[in-house]
Amino acid sequence: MHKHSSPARDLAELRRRIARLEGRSRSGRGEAVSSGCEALDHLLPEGGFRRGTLIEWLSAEAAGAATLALIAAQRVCQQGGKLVVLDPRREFCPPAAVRLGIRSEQLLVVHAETTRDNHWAIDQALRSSAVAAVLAWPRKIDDRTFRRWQLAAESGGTLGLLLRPETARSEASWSDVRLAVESLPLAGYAWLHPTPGNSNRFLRIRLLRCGGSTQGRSLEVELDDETHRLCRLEKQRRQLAR
Amino acid sequence: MKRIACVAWKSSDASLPGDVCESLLLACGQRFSPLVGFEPSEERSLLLDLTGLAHLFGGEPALASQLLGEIRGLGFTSRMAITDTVGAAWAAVQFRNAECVIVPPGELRPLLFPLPVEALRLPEETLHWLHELGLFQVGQVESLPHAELPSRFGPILLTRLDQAFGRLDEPVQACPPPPQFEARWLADYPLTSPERIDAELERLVHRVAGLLKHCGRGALRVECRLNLERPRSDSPTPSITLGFGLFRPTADAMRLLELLRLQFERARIPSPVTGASVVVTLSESLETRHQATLFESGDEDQREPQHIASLAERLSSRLGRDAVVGVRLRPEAQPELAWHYDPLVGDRRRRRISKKNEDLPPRPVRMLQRPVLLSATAVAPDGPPGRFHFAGRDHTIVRHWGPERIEAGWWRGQPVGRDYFQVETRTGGRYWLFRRLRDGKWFLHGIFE
Repeated sequence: MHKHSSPARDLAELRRRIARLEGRSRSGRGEAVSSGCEALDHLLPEGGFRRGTLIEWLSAEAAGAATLALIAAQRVCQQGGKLVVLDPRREFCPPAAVRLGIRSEQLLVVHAETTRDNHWAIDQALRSSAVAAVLAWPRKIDDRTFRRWQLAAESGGTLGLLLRPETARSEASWSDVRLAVESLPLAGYAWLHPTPGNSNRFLRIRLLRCGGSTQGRSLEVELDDETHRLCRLEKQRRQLAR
Repeated sequence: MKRIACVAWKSSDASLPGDVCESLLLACGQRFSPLVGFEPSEERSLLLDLTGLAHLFGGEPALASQLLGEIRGLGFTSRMAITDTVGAAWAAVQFRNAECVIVPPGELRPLLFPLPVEALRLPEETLHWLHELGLFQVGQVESLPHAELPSRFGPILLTRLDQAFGRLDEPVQACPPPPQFEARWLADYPLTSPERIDAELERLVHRVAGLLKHCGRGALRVECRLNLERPRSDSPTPSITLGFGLFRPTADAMRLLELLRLQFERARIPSPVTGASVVVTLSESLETRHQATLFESGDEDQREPQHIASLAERLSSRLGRDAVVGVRLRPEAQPELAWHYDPLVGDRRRRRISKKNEDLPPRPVRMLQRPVLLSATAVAPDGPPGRFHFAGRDHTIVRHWGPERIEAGWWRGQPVGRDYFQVETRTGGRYWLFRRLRDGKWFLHGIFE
């Protein structure tokens, strides 16, 4: 071990070794950035999402996955760079992103007409070093395209945020992290908030794929509607019980 | 006898600056006539002197439809007229409700006589006097003794009348042509091999880039036309047009070539190529842009600006200029109008960027292009419905927040009154519904994905 060893440093060193053994982080240049949720960062082997990788968010409609992805995008974009949004349906609503703290001048929106053009544009955006993050809703991704995106993200150092339907779970993946997001009906948590006007959301995030032993773990978070902060629920429950 | 065309135009993109529109139209018009200018009155119409030129395009109707088509291609809607004089052409465009009016030579009287006196391009005051005297049509004024007109209505009336009927010459004041950056190539024999054509295009682009550099200007929009072999000797030359825009003006041949190749590789070329041209349709001085950037907010493109330019240009070249856009928020209550998309390439100036990021009301990440009418009825008089059907599924609403009342648009003549609710379904999904105040109907407008 090192001369000035501390548990945290040892742990980090061990993680790096494991990552090497698992064949991840080939280039090693992608630094980790916070996902915007502290509790989720703790579960991720590198303490956050790594630049230059793809993150998949699997969810049903209206479950809040895009909001979580935008919160992560905001964290990456804080250090400069564009957020490219691939919006072939023309349904993306920029004010929603701006409300989460992304500056409107950081947004670059692409309306491609065919799936082929859309996939090509995703590749181009991931490859560009002027881009901090890419947000897209690809439904079906064939293996070659997926692999190409992974290499593109790696060469551009961009974070690719891919929002996908739940059915994509059975598909092969080239993403670094695959998450499933589920919206929890407020009814079960209403006791946390006696105020009726509160519209905070409760979400369950499950780690379907990522390196390390935390794979398969899940956590429940509360998304504050005003501050857009994500807090782990257990902690809140404990505080409330105190 | 002179032949004059007048074109009235409107841009579909209201945010496009007027001078950009005009230089686009000017460049377009100059492909048809060497004498192109603008009618100087308030509604600036494009004027072309077509005297002795129509036969080159297969006659006036063919010329007109070609010109209208090109202008449509620029994203403008337009109407045009061809007559003997500037005054009559202008009058026909403004007061004959037709896309294209062609008046045969020497037939000005049947055109002008029934038109209102407003068609004579007169000042308000003169119009007022004419109306006072019960003179409403050009024909009535033309029938008056001309000698008396100047003393009663000032010199302008007779001048305009004579100009319209061709008794007084009114030349088209040609706009100084913008510096032309173009290069042409004519094949000795038609080429089919893409490599050979590409080599010629490369030469053309290098020539154009050289011209740009020489004048200290950079291209913002470039058009390349490939002329194809005619199927029969008497048919017109078919052609393919490739075009692209730039994020910043450039005179860099390699960059221009890369963007042109993106298009060329995808183009289907059905027959041998007999020639090509590369034309810069919009350019800007490279120096002014450098100065302007000093005052631009520093937050844009701080991370490797040349890379964002190259990304924007590549995407726009393949997907089209309007498909790659930046976002400008607008102070607008109606949710679907609260932002505007600006193309990133092919514009003279970068528009001012909205800064207001705070205090935005909650908005769903996914907003439907068109609100979807729901067959639902409200359970409570003030609350949202109990259930609704969307995308093939039934949703039961268990909680709701709101209303957020939005009343807007009355100044546009399209008043909008809505009460928005954020609702949560039994499965935890969040949707955005509104009730139209006018008739109490419910719509789904967004999804909090």
